[in-house]
Amino acid sequence: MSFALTLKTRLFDRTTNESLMLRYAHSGDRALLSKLYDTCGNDLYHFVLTLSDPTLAKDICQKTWLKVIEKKHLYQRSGQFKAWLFTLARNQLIDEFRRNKHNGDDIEQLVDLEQNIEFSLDDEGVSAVFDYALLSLAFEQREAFCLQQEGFTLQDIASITHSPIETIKSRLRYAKDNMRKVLNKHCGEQND
Amino acid sequence: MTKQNQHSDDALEQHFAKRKRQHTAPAAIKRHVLAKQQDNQSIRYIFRRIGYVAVAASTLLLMSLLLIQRPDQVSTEINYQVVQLHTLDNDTKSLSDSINSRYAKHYNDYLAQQKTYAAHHKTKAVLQLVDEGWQLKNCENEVLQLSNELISALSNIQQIDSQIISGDEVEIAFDQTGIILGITRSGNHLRC
Repeated sequence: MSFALTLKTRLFDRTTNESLMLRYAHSGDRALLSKLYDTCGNDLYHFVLTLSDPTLAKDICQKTWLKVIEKKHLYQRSGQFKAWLFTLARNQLIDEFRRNKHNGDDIEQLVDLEQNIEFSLDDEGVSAVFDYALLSLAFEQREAFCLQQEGFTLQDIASITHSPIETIKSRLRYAKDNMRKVLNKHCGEQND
Repeated sequence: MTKQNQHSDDALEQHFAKRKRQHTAPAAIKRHVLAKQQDNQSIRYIFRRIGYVAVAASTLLLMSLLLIQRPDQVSTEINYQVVQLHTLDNDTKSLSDSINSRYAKHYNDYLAQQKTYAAHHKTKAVLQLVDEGWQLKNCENEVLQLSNELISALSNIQQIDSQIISGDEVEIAFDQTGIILGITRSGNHLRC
């Protein structure tokens, strides 16, 4: 029983992001980085895309992964790899916003989405409404909502966004309320 | 949380998951990142190689320097020891010998002078003319042979009485070292 548990733990540990990152930090093996990218690449891209636009998201994701390559020795054994990765990406994004004096709320993109909503309320239409609802949130609310959907705890979100937990709770509550309102407004029966 | 809110949260999660599936990361990001990793690894490999070569070269250089310097040090050390011992030994010996020999010479001279003085510091003797030249005979029946050169030298400086003849009693003047300074006729009879 004990042996089986140890074996299971070892096998499980070898496939977690944290163990992959530790092994990558030690060896610099390209295959390990590829595995990490396969595990977290899409999540990261979607997070950054939701907070910016496709061009910037691609650029930020590339820079973030390059940071992982350069700063792999700084990865802490006790930390969660995905939280570290998202923190790096968020810092990059905030820096980019500060450089370009961008506030993270793309009005043109919202207008386009709102126009698309009016056409249909099928599956694609509902997705468009959800996109609109999500992108119409304030940056901080959108950020907190995305991070929660990515599986991070309140503590993780507070740590990634450098904000108190109570603030995160508030942002999440407002984010969900606002999204519900938008979804109910445009496609109430589908959403219920 | 109410049942309605729970249902609404589930719907938001489903919409979010659907949106994530629709927005996957461009493959170019992964290609770019892995290419950079490859470059980074190659550069690290090259620098590591250079580091190994530098360390090996430094070690060889250090060993060469040590090997070059060691025989010099050994020979210097041996020379130093030989010179030191030889020099000290010889100096001591020669100095001692010199002192000893000088002391012995002076002592011998002193003894000879003492002997001459003791034997001949007699103010009176009988002058005799023999085939070999002049002789002085004292009360101890010791005979002092006067060389022609001495008589000639004393005549030149008028320190020998020209009237003395064989059988005359004479007074002999010596200096402190026992050298005859003058011979004059004595008015007193020699009494032994």
